Amino acid sequence: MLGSGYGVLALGFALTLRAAGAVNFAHGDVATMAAYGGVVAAAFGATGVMAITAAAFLGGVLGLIVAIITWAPLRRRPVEATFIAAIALGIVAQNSLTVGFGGAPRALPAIVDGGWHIAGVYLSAHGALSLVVAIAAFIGVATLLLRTRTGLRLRAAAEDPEIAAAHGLPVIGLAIFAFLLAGALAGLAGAILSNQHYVTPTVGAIYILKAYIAATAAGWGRILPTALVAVGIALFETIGAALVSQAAAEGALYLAFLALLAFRPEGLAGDIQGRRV
Amino acid sequence: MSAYDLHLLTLAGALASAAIGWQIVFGLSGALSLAAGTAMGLGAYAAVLLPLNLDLPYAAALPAAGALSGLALGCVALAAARLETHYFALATLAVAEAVLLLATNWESVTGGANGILGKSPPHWLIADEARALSALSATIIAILIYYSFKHFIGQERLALLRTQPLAAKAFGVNGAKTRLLAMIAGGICGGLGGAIHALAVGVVSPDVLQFKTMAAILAVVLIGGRRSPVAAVIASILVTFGPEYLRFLEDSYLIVYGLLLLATILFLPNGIAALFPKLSAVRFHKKQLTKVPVPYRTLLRSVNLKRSFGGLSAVDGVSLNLHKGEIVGLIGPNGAGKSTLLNLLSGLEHPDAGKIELAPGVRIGRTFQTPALIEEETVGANLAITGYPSQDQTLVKSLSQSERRFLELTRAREYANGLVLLDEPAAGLAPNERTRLAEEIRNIAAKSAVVVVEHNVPFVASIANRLVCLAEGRVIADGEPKEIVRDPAVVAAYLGVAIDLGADR
Repeated sequence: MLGSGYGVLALGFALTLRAAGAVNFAHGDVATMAAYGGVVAAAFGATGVMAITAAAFLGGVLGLIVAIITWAPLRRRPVEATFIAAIALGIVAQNSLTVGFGGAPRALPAIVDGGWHIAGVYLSAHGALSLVVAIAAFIGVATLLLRTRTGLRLRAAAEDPEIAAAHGLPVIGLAIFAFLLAGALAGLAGAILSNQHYVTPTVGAIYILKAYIAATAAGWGRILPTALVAVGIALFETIGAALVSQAAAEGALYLAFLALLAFRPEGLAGDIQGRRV
Repeated sequence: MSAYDLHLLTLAGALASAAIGWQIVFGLSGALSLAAGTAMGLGAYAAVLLPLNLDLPYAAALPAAGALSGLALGCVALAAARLETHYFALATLAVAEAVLLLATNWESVTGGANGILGKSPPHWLIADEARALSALSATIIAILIYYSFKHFIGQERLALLRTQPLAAKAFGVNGAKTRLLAMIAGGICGGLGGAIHALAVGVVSPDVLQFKTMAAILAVVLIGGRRSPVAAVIASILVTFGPEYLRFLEDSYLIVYGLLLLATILFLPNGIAALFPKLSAVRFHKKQLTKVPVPYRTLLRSVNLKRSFGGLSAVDGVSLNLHKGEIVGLIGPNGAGKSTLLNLLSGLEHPDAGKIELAPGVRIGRTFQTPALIEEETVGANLAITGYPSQDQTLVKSLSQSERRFLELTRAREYANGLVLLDEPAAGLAPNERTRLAEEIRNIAAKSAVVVVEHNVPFVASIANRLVCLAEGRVIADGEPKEIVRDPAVVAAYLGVAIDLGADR
C-alpha cells in the first residue's frame, strides 16, 4: 500500500519535472491538502470511494494553483525560483492545515472495508484496491504519454519548448495541464497513504523527499522508471521497518541514496537528457 | 530595552549569522544547499553537548561549534562534489533528514525528541546584554567571513560560476572546489549562529533541525537579498520581531509569513537590498594573467580522441595538431561532432579514449555558440576575469547580439595564451561586422593558433589557411581551403555542391 502511494506520488512529480521542467516542491503538500479534503468529505458522510474521488479532484485544482502561482510567472527566471516559490507555498499550505485541523494525525476511511486472511497474512481490501488504482494510474499515464496525441504534444513541448512553441503548440497550456494531472495523482496518492499511515499537516515534506529521491535515482525526468523506483523505496522501508525500525530504515535509505549520488550521479538508469544545468 | 527585546535581538543575530552563511553558499557560489538549517542545528547541539559531556567551557564551545559545523558541511560538499543544481539540493536535503533522524533517535546522547537541557552558562554570559553582544559578535564574524570569501575567490569568478557554469570551467574556475570552500565557510557561520541560538534558549531539541529552520534562513535571504549581508541582518530582525507584532493573528502568522515570502519571490526578486542605492561602482580586482610567448611551433597535439554519449559516438578517433600562426576552420554537417571536439580540446569534457597534449605555457581561451556572459554585469566586470583593464560600465544585457559576440571574443583573446577556439563567431553578424571579425581573427593568429567552428563556409574558407571537415565524428578531409571545398567526400557529406572560392584568393 505504501508502494502504491509512493508510486502514484512519484509519477506525478516526474510528470511536472518532464513536462514543465519544474521541480514541484509543493507536490507533497498538494497530496497532504487533498487528503485533508478527503477527511472533510468523509466527515460529511462520504463513502471511501467518494472521499478518494474528492481528494483526486481537489488535488487537480491545487495542482493548477501551484502552476499559476509558482511556475507560470517564474518561467523565465533561474530554475531555482520555482523551486523556492513552491517551498514558500508549502509553508502556507502546512500552516493553513495546522490552523484548520490542528497537528494531530487524521485518518481517511478505507476505500472499501474488510479484507481477507490468506495463509496467515491479513490483506486489507483497501490495500488491494490501492494497488489496483495505482496500476491503473500507471497504465493510464503511460498510455496518455505514449499512445495519445496529447501525450505526443506534451513530450514534444518538454523536449524543446522553443521549437514546440514555434510549431504552434500551446507549450504553457500543456505544462499547466501536466501540473493539473500531477495534482490529481498527488491527491490520489494522499488518499491511498492516509488510511493506514494517517495524515499530518507536515507529512508532505517527507513524501516529497521520497519522490525526489526516486526521480533522481531513476534518471531526471524519466516518468515511468521514477514510479517504479518509488515502489522500490516503499518496499525497502516496509521491510526495513519490520526487521529493524522505521528510523533505521529511513536512515539507511538516505545513506544509500547519498552513496549513489556520490558514485553514480547520473542515476541508476543513466541520464537520457544529459546533465541539466 | 526590555529583557525580552534583548532575547529577540539575540535570536535575530543567530539567524542573521546562519543566513549570511547561506548567502556565501547560495548567493555567492550559486549552490542550492538545503542544509543551512542543519549547519545551525549542528552548531546548537555542539554548543550544548560539548560543555555537558567534555566539560568544555562556553568560551571554547561556541567557536568549536562553528568549526565542527564547518567541518561537517565540508564533508557533505566533498560527497556531493560532482553534483550540480537540483542534485546538490537533494543531496543536502537527504543529509538534513538523516541528521534529524539521528538527533531524534540517538537518545542516550541527544536526549531524543525532547532534547536536552544545556549546562548553565558562566556568570559573564548570564546577562541578556552579554548574550546580545555575543550574537552581535557572531554576526560580525559571519560578515567578515562573507567578504573574505568573496575577495579570496574573486567576485567576477563567482558571478561567472553562478550564471555560466560551463564558461566558468573554461576560464579556470573550479566549481567543486569553490562549493567546498563555500560550504565550509557557510557551515562555520551557521554553526556559530546555532550555538548562539542554543545559548539564548538554553535547550536544544530536534526542533532546530526541522525544515522550518531552513525555511527561516531562506526567508531572510530572499527578503533581504542574496548578496547583501547587511540586508540579511535587517531581514533577520524583521523576521524575528515580525511575529511579535503579528500576535493578533495568533496561529495564522506563519501563513502570513509564507504569503509574504511568496510575494517577495514574485514581486521583489532581489529582496530589500534592491531598494538600497548602489553605494559606488563595484571594483574588480585585476589579477594580471601571465602571458609568455610559447617557444614551440606545435601548440596542441591530440591523438585518437573518442567521446560517445549513451552509445552514440560524437567524436570517433580524431587526431588533430594545431600550430602557431594557423587559422583552422572546422566544418561539417550538424551533429558531426564539432562542438564536442571543441569541448574536448578546451577541457570541458574528458575523452573516453585518446589523449591531448598542450605545449608548456599554453592556455586556451574560447567562445560559445550562445555567448556565455554574465548578463547582469558590466562589460568591464565580464573582462575582469582575464585581467584586461576596462572601465566600460555598459551592462551586458543592453548589448546587441553582435556586440556580445565581440565582447566574448575579446574575453577569449585576453584570457588565452597561444590558443583560441571560436564556436560559430560569425553567426548573426552583418557583412561589415564579419569583415571586422576576420581582421580580429587574423590579428590573434599572428601569435596564436585559432580554431573556428563555422557554418558559413565561404566566410571561414576566406580567413582560414587550413580546413578540417568532420562527419559522423571522423575527420574526412584536412587541408588547404580551396582543395577541401572541392573534395568529393566533403561535397557528398556536407556541401552538396562544390564551392568556387573565386580567383581573388
